[in-house]
Amino acid sequence: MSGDEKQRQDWQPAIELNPEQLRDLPNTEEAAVEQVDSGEDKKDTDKSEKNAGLSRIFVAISALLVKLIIIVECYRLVSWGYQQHWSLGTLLSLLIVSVLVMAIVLALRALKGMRQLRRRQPLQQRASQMIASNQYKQAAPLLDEMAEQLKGTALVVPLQQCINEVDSVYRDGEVIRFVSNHGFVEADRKAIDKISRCSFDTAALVAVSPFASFDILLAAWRNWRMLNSIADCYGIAPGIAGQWRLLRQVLHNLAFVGLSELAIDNSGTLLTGSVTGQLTARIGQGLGAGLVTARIGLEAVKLCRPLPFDEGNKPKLSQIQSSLLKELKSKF
Amino acid sequence: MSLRARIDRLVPPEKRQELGDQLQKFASTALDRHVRLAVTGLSQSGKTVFITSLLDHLLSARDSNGLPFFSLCNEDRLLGVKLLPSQGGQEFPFRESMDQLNASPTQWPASTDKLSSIRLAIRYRPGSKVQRMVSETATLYLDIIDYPGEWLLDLPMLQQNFNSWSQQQYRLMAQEPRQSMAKSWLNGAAELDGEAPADQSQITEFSAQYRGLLQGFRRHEQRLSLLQPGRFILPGNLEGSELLQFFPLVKTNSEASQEGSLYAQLEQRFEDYKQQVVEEFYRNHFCHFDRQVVLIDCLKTLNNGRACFDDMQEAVAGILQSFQYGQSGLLRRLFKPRIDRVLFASTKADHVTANQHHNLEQFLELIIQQARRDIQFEGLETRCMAIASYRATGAAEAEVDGQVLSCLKGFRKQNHEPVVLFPGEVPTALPQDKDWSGQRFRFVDFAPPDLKKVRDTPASHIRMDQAIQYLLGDKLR
Ligand SMILES: Nc1nc2c(ncn2[C@@H]2O[C@H](COP(=O)(O)OP(=O)(O)OP(=O)(O)O)[C@@H](O)[C@H]2O)c(=O)[nH]1
Ligand SMILES: [Mg+2]
Repeated sequence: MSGDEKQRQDWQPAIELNPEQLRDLPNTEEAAVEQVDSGEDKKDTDKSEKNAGLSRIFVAISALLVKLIIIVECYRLVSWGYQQHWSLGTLLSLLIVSVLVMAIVLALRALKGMRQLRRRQPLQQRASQMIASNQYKQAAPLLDEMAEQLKGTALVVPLQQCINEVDSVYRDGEVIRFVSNHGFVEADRKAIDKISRCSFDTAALVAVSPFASFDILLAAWRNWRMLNSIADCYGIAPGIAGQWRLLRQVLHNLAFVGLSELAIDNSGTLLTGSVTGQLTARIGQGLGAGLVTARIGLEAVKLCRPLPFDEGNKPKLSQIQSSLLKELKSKF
Repeated sequence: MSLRARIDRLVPPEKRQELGDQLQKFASTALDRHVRLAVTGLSQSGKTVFITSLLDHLLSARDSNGLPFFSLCNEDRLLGVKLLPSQGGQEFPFRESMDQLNASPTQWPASTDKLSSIRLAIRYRPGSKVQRMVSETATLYLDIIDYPGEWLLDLPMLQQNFNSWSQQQYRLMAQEPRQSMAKSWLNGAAELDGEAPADQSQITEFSAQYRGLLQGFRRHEQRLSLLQPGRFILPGNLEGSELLQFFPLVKTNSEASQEGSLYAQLEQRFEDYKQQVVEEFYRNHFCHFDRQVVLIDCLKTLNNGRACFDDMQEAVAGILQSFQYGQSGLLRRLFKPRIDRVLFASTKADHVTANQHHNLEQFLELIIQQARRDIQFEGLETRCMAIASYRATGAAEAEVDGQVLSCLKGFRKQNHEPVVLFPGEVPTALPQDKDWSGQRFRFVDFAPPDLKKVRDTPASHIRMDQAIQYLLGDKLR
């Protein structure tokens, strides 16, 4: 008997049950997205900021000073207006108040985008780890967190729909891959569209413009706009601060990470001598500028997307490149 | 002179259009490809059901969401799939199988007793722009054959001679559970004198008994798999033929046997069987494969015990030695195609709860360990996956003694009664002898699902889409 009991500790014997013994299954997947609680988001404030104590104090003091100066200046301006005439004074104070309100709104928005962008990276990292996992039913917290991050954007509806379609037998890795493949179809399409369009515009601009320095400025401006709209595609609020951070990361990745990828990516494409030889130098320059734009765009997509691309589903530079080439040749 | 003008002079523009069309046509036929898929598995491992499910899901893939991990569907590049008449020979009974699955009450297709083949054409848009410049569409032809699993066990015989084969058979019969069943036959055979002149009636009698013995092993509660020759169990059109009249006999002395002696006669029959049955089967159907899926019913071994596990392990290793593995480069393909990718699939994954699928894969690795190592040595890609061609069970939870158990619910295969079951947990290491206990596992056979309810959803199968992606995905880029 005791031997029997010992065996039971290792494994649960198989049993057949009565259908009445069944319990209702909680639908975990749906629950995962609905029970979004907002109390959690304080957790992930950036740790790196903690050790920047000194510079923080410095920044705070200077900000205080600037604020003080601005307030004093505003006060002087308004009181000067009232001295001239009461209507001028009111006008000035109204003006100052509205500028203030606008500044606050803008600043909040900018910070929001920045915060959202900053929270993408840990999310992506957790997702990449989970893709390799063979566990079962542990993906809900991650999906929760993602839904929370995307709350209030256009991405929530297709995502929710996709999560509802997740098959009950999928392991965590399969769940993440499924959601990554099917939850962002529309957003991916829009973003790639934007990149193609913008890279063609840049290429055309550089190809026709006679002023070299001027078109660099124009191209930079277009790229800046592109970053903005890509971020928007993936539910990141547009704003200077976020965009600045995005640009910095993109450039960093392009400089240090992207090189090897580019080498792989380019190996099978059409940029062979015979093709480039037929292009005029101008178009060649345009093509180069367009490709840089495309690379910036793809890098931005990678940073903004809540989940990493599934293997084999990644958008490739070569795809954009060949359509760009075709279009350029047909237009010029 | 510019290049263009030079080309114009060489080939006049009106001719060029025609030439271009022809070139394109040529190139696009070059893009069309053939893939011959080897569906390998012992009897009752789920070959027929797998092929049926593969065809069924591919045929309806275009307008359904049933294959979410198949990239051709994901990327919206699938144009259409069509069954083609088979190239001579018996046609795979796809319609009949589907009718049986859709009948009420639902039924699994019957066990296969003859060879059949089928060809599927998959028309798609190439994903790579380079290919698309050549042609907007491409076609992949998929050839599959189905056959009784018993016949597969003949393949290892090709590498044996009568003596080594006989020795192997006697070795097997010296172990339980075969030993006790074969006792009287072995006693009888021990009295035979290989050097005595052959007696036809004796040969007939002993082969009939040997055949009965093999059938007994198969029905034995351990459900043994390593049963040779395969045609003794399922003769097909060979019933009554002289080719099926032999049995293993070990030589007692080392001298060459006399012409006309019993041993020489049996040896001759063995060689004839090898040449006329096995080799023909192999040459016509088994040496041209590009891809292979090895279906293994792990649950059967868990249900039945250690002897069943060992037997299946040996059978699988023997069979896989008969296939040609190696990278299939273009030149090599022209002469002889080789299998360049192998999927080991544990079928009937719907018989265990979803949290056990990973364990099932690890257990599968135990069975195929040796065979897989040999294949990997050739530099091949292999993968283990738990799949179900059709998913016959649903998930459920029950509370037993205060513990929540993940269970399965479905309908019993024999009588369609509802079953709720905790089937046991799949071990990831080979259980100790004492742990092969009757109470530990209970994997019952389920009736097929009502396909109308799950049609066109991923719930109609388990990982068929990933299996298809693995087997064909790179051919459909
Ligand atoms: N639940 C479930 N049962 C399956 C599945 N596939 C096969 N089976 C069971 O396995 C049995 C045998 O399947 P077949 O496809 O006929 O096996 P086979 O390999 O063709 O067997 P032979 O033709 O005898 O060589 C079926 O009758 C089913 O009971 C599956 O995906 N799910
Ligand atoms: Mg069959």
